[in-house]
Formats: sequence, C-alpha cells, structure tokens
Amino acid sequence: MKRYDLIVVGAGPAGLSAAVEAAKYGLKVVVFDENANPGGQLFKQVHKFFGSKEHKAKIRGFRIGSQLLEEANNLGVEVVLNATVAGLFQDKEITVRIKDSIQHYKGDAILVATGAAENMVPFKGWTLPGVIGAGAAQTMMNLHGVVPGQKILMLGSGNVGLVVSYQLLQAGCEVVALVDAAPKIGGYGVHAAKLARTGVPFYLSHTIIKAEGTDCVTGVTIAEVDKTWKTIPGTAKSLAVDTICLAVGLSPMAQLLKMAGCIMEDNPKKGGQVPVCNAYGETSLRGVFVAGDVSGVEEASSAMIEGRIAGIAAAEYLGYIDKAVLTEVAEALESALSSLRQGMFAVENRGKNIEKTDEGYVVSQHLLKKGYFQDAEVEKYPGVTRQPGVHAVIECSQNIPCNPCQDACPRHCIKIGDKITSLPVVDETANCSGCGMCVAACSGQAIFLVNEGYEAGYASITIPYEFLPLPGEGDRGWALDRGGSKVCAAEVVKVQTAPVFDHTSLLTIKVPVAMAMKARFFKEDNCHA
Amino acid sequence: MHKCTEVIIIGGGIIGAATAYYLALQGIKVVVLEKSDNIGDGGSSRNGGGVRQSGRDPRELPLAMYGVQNIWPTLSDELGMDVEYVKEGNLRLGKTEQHLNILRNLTKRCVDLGLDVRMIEAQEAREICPYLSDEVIGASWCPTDGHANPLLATLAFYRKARALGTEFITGENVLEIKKIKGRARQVITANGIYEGETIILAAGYDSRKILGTVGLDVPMTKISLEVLVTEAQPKMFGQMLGTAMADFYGHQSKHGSFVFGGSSGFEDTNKNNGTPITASITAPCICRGIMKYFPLLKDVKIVRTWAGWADISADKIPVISPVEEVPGLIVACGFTGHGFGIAPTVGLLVAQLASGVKPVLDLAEFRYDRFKAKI
Repeated sequence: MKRYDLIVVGAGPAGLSAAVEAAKYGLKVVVFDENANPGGQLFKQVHKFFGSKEHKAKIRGFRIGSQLLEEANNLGVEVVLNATVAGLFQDKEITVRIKDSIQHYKGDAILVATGAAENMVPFKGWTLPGVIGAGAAQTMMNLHGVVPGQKILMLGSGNVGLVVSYQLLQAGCEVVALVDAAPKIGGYGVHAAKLARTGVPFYLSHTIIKAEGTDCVTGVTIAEVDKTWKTIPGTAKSLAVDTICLAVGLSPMAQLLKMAGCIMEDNPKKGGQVPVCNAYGETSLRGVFVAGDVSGVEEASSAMIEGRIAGIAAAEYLGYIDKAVLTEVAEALESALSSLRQGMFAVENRGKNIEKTDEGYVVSQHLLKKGYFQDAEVEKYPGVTRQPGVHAVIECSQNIPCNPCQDACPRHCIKIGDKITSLPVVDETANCSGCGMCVAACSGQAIFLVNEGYEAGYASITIPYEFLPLPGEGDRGWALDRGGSKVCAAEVVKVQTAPVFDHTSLLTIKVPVAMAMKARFFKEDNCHA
Repeated sequence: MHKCTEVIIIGGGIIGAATAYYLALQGIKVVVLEKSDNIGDGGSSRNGGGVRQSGRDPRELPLAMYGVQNIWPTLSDELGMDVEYVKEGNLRLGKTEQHLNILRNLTKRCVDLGLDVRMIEAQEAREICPYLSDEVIGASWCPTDGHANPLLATLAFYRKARALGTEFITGENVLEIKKIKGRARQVITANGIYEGETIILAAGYDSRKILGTVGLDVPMTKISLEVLVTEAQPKMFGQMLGTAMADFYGHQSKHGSFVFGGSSGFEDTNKNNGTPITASITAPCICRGIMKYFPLLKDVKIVRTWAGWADISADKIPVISPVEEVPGLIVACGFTGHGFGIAPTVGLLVAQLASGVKPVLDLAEFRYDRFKAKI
C-alpha cells in the first residue's frame, strides 16, 4: 500500500493551500480530486475577491487558482485528478477510485478539504430539465462556455445568487427575477446594487410555487409569502423563463469524516453536519485535519487560510517543524482569518437584523429589499461627497471585510483605517486626479467618479463596466439609475482599459448635471437616445 | 433530580421502544432512558432489516414465527406508520454441493419445528427471482419470510409509545442499578435518580457493565457488522436473500435501494476507534460476494456504508429473562445480530413479564443464568 506524509482530499482552495504549506516544510504530499481539473470552485470564480492584500483581494478567483496550482507544482505536490476518494478508514487509510479500480493509500496525516454541495429545494416541477443549481450554471458558463438558458429566474439572494446572476448577465442571459423567501437580501449590498442598476427586479418575501412546462422549464409561478413563510393568496404571478437557478445555500460534504469516526456536530451556522475540530483544523482523530467549507461553509478566501493553517499543523504533527514555529505562523494566519470574519455578515450576525453600521450610519432598508439606495439615502454615507471637480463617490454602506480601494488611491483620498470592515471615507481635503484606480479596484463595483463641472450643464460619471461588447467613445444610449430605470440620454466620452484594471473597463458618460447623483449605468442605444 | 414511574426501560432501541409500546397499551407508565442523543442509535438503525424465520436457531424460531403470524402483517396499521414490511419469502442460495448440504441441515431443523421451508432446485429459484447467476444450483425457500425497514419500525414503536404517554429521555447515560430493600428499584444516571417498580435492561452490549452493578453477568462479546446501501434501482424483486456461506444478505427496499449486509471474516478481531466504523476491506468483500449471485448489479453505485455493534451472546441466542435474585429486574440483551425480526415479539413478551402476565411463549431457553462451564 502506497504511503504519503500527507494525503489531501480535494484540490480546491483549502486543499491546495494546505498541500503547498505542507510541501514547503518537506512533507511528501498527494492531493486527490474527483474532478478532471484542479482548483475546486476557484476556476469558475471570474469576479474579483473581497478582503485585503493578504487575502488576495481584487484578484479574480481563477487567477488565484492558477497561482496556487503553480505553487503546488513547483513544490512537487502530486495532484491526482479523476480520483474519487470513496472511503476514510482507521489508521488513516483511504480508498480511491481511479479509472476502474479502487486503490488503497495510507497517509501519516490526512486533510479532508472536500468542500460543500449545493442545496436544492423541492417545488412542483423541480425535477424538470432547466432547474439547476447556481453553481452548476456557473460551471456551465465559466468552465465550459455554455449558457444554461436565455431567461433565468434566480432563487436565493445570498452572495452566490447575486454573483452568479451578474455572471449570467455578463454571459448575455436575461435575469428575469431574483427571488428570495427572506424579507431581506442575504448577500452583500454592493453585489445586489450591481444587478439592480442593470434593471434586474428583486422579489423579496417571494417563493416559487411551481416550475411550468412538460418536457423542460417554460415558466415559473412565484408568490409572496408572509412572516410565517406561507404563501399569500392572490399574489401568484407567472414569469416566462427557461431556466430556474437555485442558490439556496451549501451543505458541508463531511461524510468521509463521519465515516472515519470523527466526533461530529450539527451546526446550522456552519451549514449542517461538520466535524468538531480545534483551531488548527484537527478533528477528534489525531492527524486527521479539515479545512474549508467541509468544516463550515464560508468562502474561498477563508478556506485558503484554513488550508494553510492545517497544512502547517500537519507539518508539526509529523515532526517537520517545532511547535513554536506552528504557534507563530498560525497566529499570523489566524489574525488574517479573523479579519475576514468581521462585520455585518460574520457568522455570529447571521439572521440578525442590523439597523446601523459600526459607525452609526443607518442601513438602507431599500437596499435590503430592492437592491439599491433611494436617492436621498446615498449621500449620507462617508464615501459619498459633493465636491467641485472630479472625485470618487463610494456607494459602500455595509461593514464588510474589504479594503482594496484604500490601497488603490495613489493620492490617499480614500480612508478605511486599520479596521478592514469600516466604511470607506472620502477625504475631501485630498486631491483626486481622476485616475480611476479605485473604480477598477472595488470588487463590489461600488465606486464611481463624478465630475459635476465636466462642462456647462453636464456632469461626467465614470462607471466600472464588465460587459461585452464594450461601447466606444461617442456612442450614445441611456443612463440608468440605481434601480435600472432610464433617466436621461447619455453619451460615452471616454473608455479606459488597462492591464492594471484587470478587465474592469472604465466607462465615462456625459449626462445633464442634475443626473450626476442619479445615473449609475449605461445602456447603449445609438438609434433612439 | 429524582423521578418515579412504574417501569424504567434502559435502552431506547427497538427492543426498548417495542416493550414500552406494549406496556403503554396497558396504561402502564414507562420512562425509557437512552444513552445517546438518538433513539435506535445502536443495532436498531444499523441492521439489514430481515424478518426471517428460516435459518433461525430452533430455540429462537418460535419467537420469529409468532411475530410473522401475529404481529408483523398488521404492524403498520397498528402503529399508524408504514414500516415497509414485505412478506415475499426468503431465498437462501447455494453454489456448490457443500452449500446445499448446509442448506439442507438448516432447513430440516426448521421443518421439524413446523416452519414452511423447503429445498428448491435452481430452476424454481430463478422462477422466484429471475436475476440469479448461473452459478446458483439450489436454494432453501421459505415463502413466509420477509423484510421491513428497521429505521421506520423503530421510529413507529417510539412514536406510538410516546403518543400513549411513554417518556423517552435521550442523552441519559445509566451508571448503575441500585437495589433498595432487596429489590431493583433505582436507576442512577449522570444526571440523577430514576425510581421504578420494574427495571428492564435492554441496552445491547452496554447491558453487561450495568448488570455488573447488581452482581450479574451475561457472557457477550461485541462485534462490528457492516451494511451497504445502493442507489435506487427499478423494482426487481421482493425476497429477502441470504447464502449458505453467509457471504451477504439483503433485500431491495421500498424506494428501490438495495440494502446488503455482510462480513469480511475478520469481525471477531477487527479493531475500532470507539465508534462503529466500517473497515476498508468489508464493503468490497460483500460486493464480490454479491456479484457471484447477482452479476446484474455490478454497475450499481453504493451510496453509503455503515457499521453497527452486535451484542453476541456466548451461545448465540438472546437473554430474555426475569432475574429472581434481583427482584424487579428483567433483562433483554445478547440478540447476536438477529434481533430485529423478533423485536416486536420480544417487546410483547417482555411487557408481559413486566406486567405480571404469563408470556404467550415459553422463555425457558432464554434464561440469564443458563451459561455454565463446559465440564
């Protein structure tokens, strides 16, 4: 039976990070993954990540995947693909299905980083072709280059539902409705705002009654629900869609650990049944570690840090490093991890009704219900100022762990401070050059450059733009407000692309000055506008 | 905490739940104490679901036959919940002449006690179950055997007992039975004291250390047995299956999954880490066994495997017995891996013992004090 120092199950962000760290300290590591490609979900994440520099913020997920894989290869980590780990047994023995045979391996340490699986929700017609997981839609689009459909209903307003909806728009689909039974949008407000300003309607306190169609989805019936989640009679409406995407949460795939006899707990805040583990990810079985979603559903950034911690802990367990080294390195990583777990969306705040930010700003209920601010609300946030000349307008209203905008500004116009979840403050005394670095750096696409003195009677607005085809200078169309309604005619006066913007183009449009604080998106229409 | 009741049952498995149900039917107040957080956490939720008479030890056969004749057919209606009982017979299969000899012996034993079971040729076996491999040359056939869903059956007894007023307390680890003035009276747990007129001990292998607190012992060992379940398949057959060599046993469940139990041959010496976990060699071994008899299933995916402890008594049949030297104590343990099918009967019999009614079947073979040195 072949034996390794460390066997990693799952080549996603957590598994690869662990493998890299362990290999750095000299462990002989193998990673098994059931997929044909490594990277777990990373390679389909085409959006920019949140966090700070140490969390690889503002880098798109798939690039992080490539970096990790390259690191693993350089360190001699063996990555075995199309290899399904079918069992985890006593004495750290695993069985792996590779092609048509089952192979047995032993590890002196095991790290299980199997991630999580998408939840489904049953309703009438839910087995029809056309009802798919949001993650599946993402796989089709971003890995295989196939759109799942043309007219989509997304169920679930968490970050997955919001991010995938945006990617569906980018792929050229129409998102007909974003539906959630909860009364408030579950994911980041900035993600919701990106959708709302393109015109995607949000239906909060709504649920799916049935999927329509005989051979495949041809429509969907939704209805409003009351506080007890019961549908309200007379509120049913039918929408023509060909695809229903379900983004209703993830469940840890912890079966291997249960099978091995790890002590498990049912923890709704972690997404379901997870192994009990210590700060290093070690389970109740010595030398069996976990990292990433399998130990509690979060996101890729924290999974990578957890993976690194577990990889280092495995190195210590096997005597490759001293306890003192582990303590020191883990401490730094744990502080990076804890900074990611702060703010309104932290696990301990799930389900809570937070009415004010840490700074005391009122959270917009309109944003939470409709996906965008009312005009009057937006100006009270510290990133939104009215100044003569070009300046950044940062429509960021929630305490989330993210600060690339602060680092992006070469003139230090934007201040977040040491607390990564603080709202960005625009310093009116600093002198904005209009370079647009902040606009491209904001993973939430919440920063705009506004110049109310662009020319007599007109303002310019620079918006982040991630759609193709890219409009050209001189193109005409409509300016859309935060809710996606046409508010005035607009002309594109400048289009900037640069490697440093990483595929976020900066589109500068000219609108009547009265629209400077209303217009937030551009829809090309050279014939009518 | 100090709580009084009429009957205390230690062990919330199917034996405890069924006993509670039959007692509650008579209006007797029962408290069931279960160590784990879940009802039926032991063998009750980890067995293959056989409701089988053929192949039983002759001492145990009357219990199995009584259940099939009087309890199982109406149990779903009685408990108000489908326990997925299917009575479509048991085929015990053989591939060699030696196998057939084993089957003939098992069959004769049961026929002598009045069970309808007989040897059949390969052709008749294939008429009953057309999916058998060409290697099968004969079988024993008991048309009144069957199977049920052990999780549902345990749940059904539990629910009905509760509905009738029985109190189930989970997470209650029994440390000791204490005699008061010559009678078993108190059950001491980590959380407090329960007091009852009668104490029924039905805690699987764990009964042994509890028996020790009143100076008794039932010679038992604990072994880990394994089951696997496949993805759902179209309905193929309804029989319970077994083999002369006990390579595997199993059936197709109501929703289409096959449930197969079996062994690797190392059950007596397998180690464990304190939880009932599967061994890396067992499921593959069961599968190799199955494929010799049902090659058609070779591409069916296994969705889960699990293991459970069986309390193996020294003479391979259970103890179901009042304990005269500790008045007020009744023991039901040592079911040796074949307790599920007879559980409703045992529940009825133990309830009769506890309520002072003469049991409908003779329990002399199941005395707790039957174990004697060999010379």
